[in-house]
Amino acid sequence: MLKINKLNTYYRESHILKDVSVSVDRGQVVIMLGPNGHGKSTLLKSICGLVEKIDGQILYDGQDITGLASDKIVNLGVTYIAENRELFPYMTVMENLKLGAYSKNARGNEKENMAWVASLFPKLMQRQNQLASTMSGGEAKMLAIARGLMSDADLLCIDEPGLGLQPSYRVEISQIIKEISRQGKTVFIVEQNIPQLIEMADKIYIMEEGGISFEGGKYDVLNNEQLKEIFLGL
Amino acid sequence: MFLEIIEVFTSGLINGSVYALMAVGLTLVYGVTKAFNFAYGSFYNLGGYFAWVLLIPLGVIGGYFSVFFMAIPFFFIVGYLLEKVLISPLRKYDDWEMKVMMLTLGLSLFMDFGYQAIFGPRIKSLPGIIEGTVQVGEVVLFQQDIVIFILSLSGMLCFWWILNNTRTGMAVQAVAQNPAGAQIVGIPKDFIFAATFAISTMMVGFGGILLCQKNFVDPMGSTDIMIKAWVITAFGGMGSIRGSLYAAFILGMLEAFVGWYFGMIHVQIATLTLLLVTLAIRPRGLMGRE
Amino acid sequence: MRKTGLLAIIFTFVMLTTTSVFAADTIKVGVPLAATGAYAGSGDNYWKGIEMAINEINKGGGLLGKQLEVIRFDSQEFAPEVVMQGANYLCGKMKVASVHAGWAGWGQDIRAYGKYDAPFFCDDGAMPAVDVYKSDPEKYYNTYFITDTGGDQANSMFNMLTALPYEYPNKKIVIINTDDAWGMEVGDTLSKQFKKIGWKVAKRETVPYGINEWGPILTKIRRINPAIIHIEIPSSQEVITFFRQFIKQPTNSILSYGWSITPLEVLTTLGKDADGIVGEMPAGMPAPKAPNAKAQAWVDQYMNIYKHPVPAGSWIAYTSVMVWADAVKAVGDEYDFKAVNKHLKEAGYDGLQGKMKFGENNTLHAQPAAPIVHYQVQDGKLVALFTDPPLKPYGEYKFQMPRWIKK
Repeated sequence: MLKINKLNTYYRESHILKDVSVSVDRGQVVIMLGPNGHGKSTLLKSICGLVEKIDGQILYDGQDITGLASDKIVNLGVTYIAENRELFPYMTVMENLKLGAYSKNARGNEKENMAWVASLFPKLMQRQNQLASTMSGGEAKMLAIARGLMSDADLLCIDEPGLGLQPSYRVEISQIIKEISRQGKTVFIVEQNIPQLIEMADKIYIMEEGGISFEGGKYDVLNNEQLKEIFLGL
Repeated sequence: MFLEIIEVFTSGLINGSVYALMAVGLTLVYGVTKAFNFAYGSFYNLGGYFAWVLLIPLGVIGGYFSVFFMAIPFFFIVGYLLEKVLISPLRKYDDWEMKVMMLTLGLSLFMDFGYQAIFGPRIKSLPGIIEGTVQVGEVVLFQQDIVIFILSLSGMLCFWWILNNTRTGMAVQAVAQNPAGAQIVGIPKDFIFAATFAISTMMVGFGGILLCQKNFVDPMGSTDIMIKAWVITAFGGMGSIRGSLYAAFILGMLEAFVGWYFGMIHVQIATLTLLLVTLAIRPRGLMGRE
Repeated sequence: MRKTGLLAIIFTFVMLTTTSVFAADTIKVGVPLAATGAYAGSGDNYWKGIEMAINEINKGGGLLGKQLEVIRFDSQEFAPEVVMQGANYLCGKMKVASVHAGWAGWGQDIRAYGKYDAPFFCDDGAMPAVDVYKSDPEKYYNTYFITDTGGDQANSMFNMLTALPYEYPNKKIVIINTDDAWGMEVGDTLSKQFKKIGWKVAKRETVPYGINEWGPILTKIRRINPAIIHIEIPSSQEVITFFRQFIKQPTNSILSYGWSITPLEVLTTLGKDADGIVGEMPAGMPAPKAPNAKAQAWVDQYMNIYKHPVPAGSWIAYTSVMVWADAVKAVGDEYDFKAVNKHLKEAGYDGLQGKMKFGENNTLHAQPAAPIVHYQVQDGKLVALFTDPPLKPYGEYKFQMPRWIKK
């Protein structure tokens, strides 16, 4: 479904991603591990058209989406859920959700998606008239994920959903991701604070210094004491 | 004395409504694109000349009704194209906000001197939308002022409604609040920037028609408007629409009461003092956000 | 390299086009006026008078057998450096034989043109400009003020207002003037004069340019209900908006507009609505009927060319060109500045309204041949009621009671 060939990205003078090749199949949960600041987020953002200078090839369902504007990519069914949430602070929860369904492909299914999101995040629905800026970190994170789901995307690129959250939220997030995956969505996720996720993973990548240093199944990681310790703190 | 205060209050109210209409567009563009449009005042004048050309040399049927009817698409398209052709290409630079300011400053001079070259240096006078007065008790109101008040108010309500009840309006607010977030949900930023420019141009053009028919079309009149709109925008809080609405009415009242009580010569200085004090105590203005 | 090539082409082009100008045997006349900016309207009035004079001289065979060639300079809004540039360009570079400006500044113009010797005619009309001249009359000997100062004009306005065939219902006057030298000078003088005869200056309001909202001031005026409202704002917009807002709920006041009646737009915009307002024009041409056949022919010709009545500045700017041409003719050499200036100062000139002469401070003080004319707007036109000095009724024209005054 997603195939990335020799992707290179640059920010000002620095070369961030170096010849990254990744592939994600439909319905999979793919996890990207790796130390902070080594390009994991950049990779997700590049897929979603949020990085300006990129080189290489990104194929989505066989279509070349390299360098396409973000709104076009969202329209094709690829959505980015940001690590730092990127909500609309002076809008209510409901308004944030509705804007999540801004793209043309999402408009038709707005009602169904809203019902789905409501069932996944009952607590958000109780606060639908609250301003996003007044929510706690965990709630805001949930809203960011919920907003991402409103886009009716088939491929969700989720950036560190568990970062800086209490364990209870992490558990909730892993359950939600399981549910998303169960609905047939493809999930490409950067996350290493939620060990439960590894159980769901169909494939795991490790990125170091802008390049892929490891590619394998979940047992390859779980059976490798060194990797397990470094990246999962287990 | 009481009667006088009522009269002065009315004058402040009417001024405020017009200022609000003028400043809201400027603050909108700033809020969304984070760039200041210095050519704003010149579009005010374009409104005046637009009405003049239609009413006087062309003698359009339907008078002001037709003028307003045609002004809406005209100014929308002018603003949209301007953004697409002149401003949008600058956005690829890192310091594009500065470049936009330089460009719009140049554009405003170009437009002002252009008006002079095309329409001559002399002021032009427009027929009034309506003449006559209305007496409410002892207070005499000019029908023209009432029309201006109603039209600016409905213009603003219309704008408010569009902003809060349409998909594009919400997208405009989204870009203003969080451009990165807007991109993530798939809002086409370039289109929204252009649409914002178009809406603000529409509002100022509309305001230009309203005020120029009361006063004049003056090829060099843009500076005054620009200064006033800027003061209101800064006072209200750069980018805050509600802030500039409050600021517009506060300044309208301040001008009327200072002018009445202390004399017209003190109006400008009072306005600017208020601005400086506000900015010193609260740099983000009345309702600006950090 | 490419840049120098381009420069060379531009240079050659400029040389080619300008040499043709040098080649013809003409007398160059400098005309620095506001062609753009806030004062472009009055600049246009002066230009029309100057253009008419130049065309008339050229059609009549030129001056000393040579055609006059106008070199214009846009002095914009009289920023000192722009005025200085103009003087250096016209006198220093183009070596013009005389300079005809209208209103040209507040003294910076006198300094700029005082560096040269070509006669400089200006219509500054305010004391600060005259004060520059007075600071060194020898250095500034080539400066000529073609209208009287604000103070003298204000005295004349006072005389006219007290001479109106109208019984004032009270002795209260409201004076509104601009915050520049001209406005203050007129406001101060009027205020002093009216106090002297026992009137009360119920409100003296100094205003900045650019006011379009008169509500607060009118509110006060309505309470005062003065016998006279005098407005001295030498810019059309403010005085038009004042009138429009005043007339919707008028007081029993004579509206005296002073010089403010003369900007062309006041009458073209207000038309017959303005009927009743009084005002003045220094070095003016009485209207609608000119004082003599020669002057009438001139007025007719003006109306024929420009399709509007003669505004302030046109006639006297025309006359200043004629005065200078007359001096050059007498001297026989346009570049003998000493002799031309001497002639200008001493000989006087026989103008359309009679013999006129520059007086103290090289100023063309109000005199019968260049009178201050007091008008009233009647039927949408300026109608001369008085000329001054001496203050006397003009022709058969009569004061009409303004329609807003209720007995």
